[in-house]
Amino acid sequence: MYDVVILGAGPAGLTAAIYAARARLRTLVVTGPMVGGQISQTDQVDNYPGFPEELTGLELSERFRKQAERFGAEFLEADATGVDFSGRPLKVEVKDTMIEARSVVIATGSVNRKLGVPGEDRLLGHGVFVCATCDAALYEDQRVVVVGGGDSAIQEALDLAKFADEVTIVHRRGELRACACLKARAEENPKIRLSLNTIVEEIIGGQRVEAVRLRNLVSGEVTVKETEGVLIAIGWEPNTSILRGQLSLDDGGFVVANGVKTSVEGVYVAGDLVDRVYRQVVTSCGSGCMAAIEAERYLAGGLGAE
Amino acid sequence: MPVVVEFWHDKCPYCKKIEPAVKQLPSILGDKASIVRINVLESKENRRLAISRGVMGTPTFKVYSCGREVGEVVGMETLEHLKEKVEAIVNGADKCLGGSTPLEPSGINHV
Repeated sequence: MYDVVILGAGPAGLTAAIYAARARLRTLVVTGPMVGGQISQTDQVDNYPGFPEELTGLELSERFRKQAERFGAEFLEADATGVDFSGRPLKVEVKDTMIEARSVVIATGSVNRKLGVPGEDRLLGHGVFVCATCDAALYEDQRVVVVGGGDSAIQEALDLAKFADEVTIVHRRGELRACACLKARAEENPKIRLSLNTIVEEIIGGQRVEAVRLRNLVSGEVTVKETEGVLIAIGWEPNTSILRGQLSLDDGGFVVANGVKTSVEGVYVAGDLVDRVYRQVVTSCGSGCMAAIEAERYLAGGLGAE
Repeated sequence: MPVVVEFWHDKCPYCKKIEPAVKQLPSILGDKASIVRINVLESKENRRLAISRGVMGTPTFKVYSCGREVGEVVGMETLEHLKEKVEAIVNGADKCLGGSTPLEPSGINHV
């Protein structure tokens, strides 16, 4: 049995691991898909204090991990597939294995929101993609449809326009939500065009993306637009599907929490799950620390045993 | 001899994560296959080659035998899975699939 099982290995989860392990609690991190989480996809981290030199998200994540391991935290590179918080000990399921815990810190972060249209899942990795930094170069001289109208969508469209021939931003509203400076850059870029008041109804293709079916919400007109790529940037949503039925979640899928405390004693949340506003590495580290300290106090009270 | 080609670039976090496994591939595969890495950010030629081979994300591993693609592994894999999958494809590609010219990609870095 572990004293603390941490779900997620982004800045919040890894900081919780550092604090918990250093407090001599037997600590396991179930990492999920990627140690480092979202920050590992960032090429340059300029605003994490204490690192005036160039720093990539991957390097920072590795440092967090090493620091946690130094104090004896264990790592399981796998996805948690379920939880059972109905009794004691608390239980975390990883495939067929049940892991027992006296306390749990949930720092599973957020995942890319999906469109939920036909073709999206089937063609993911075959023309449907979510990260321009990763894949933009592979759309050189080709056409890409970017779905979304926020900052990240426009930033991704600008990144893509360095390589692609034609970038079409498809946004369901009449105006982009992105900040004025990004909007201006997109409008000035000759490769970028806008399709406003428009939604994607289907992504079409056999082995790979060939076209999208678009509907104009004002005129009702339906068109099929040929394209080699579809980048989906319609925001993030909390990665809490395995918690459904175990913890109170609000309409947006966020865990209902008081600070880092959830509705179940001994179960804490940290990182993006408790932060809809700042979503920085340093704020995630902060709530990861808070969750671990709460877990430590809870366990010190003699609670968490059977 | 089959060729394992990794399409990657230095800003791709998954490529970095999987690098330790890639470095082990030569010793695992021995003289059964050679391995080349193509950095798609390095040159336009490399990008054209990747795009023409149907690569749509990094990392993508493709195995060629006698110039024909015999299998691929796309996206992030655990280190163990990558080794297993590549080895299985290479073992299955033992037989020459045709008389076509072996792939000789340009701008490659041998591991």
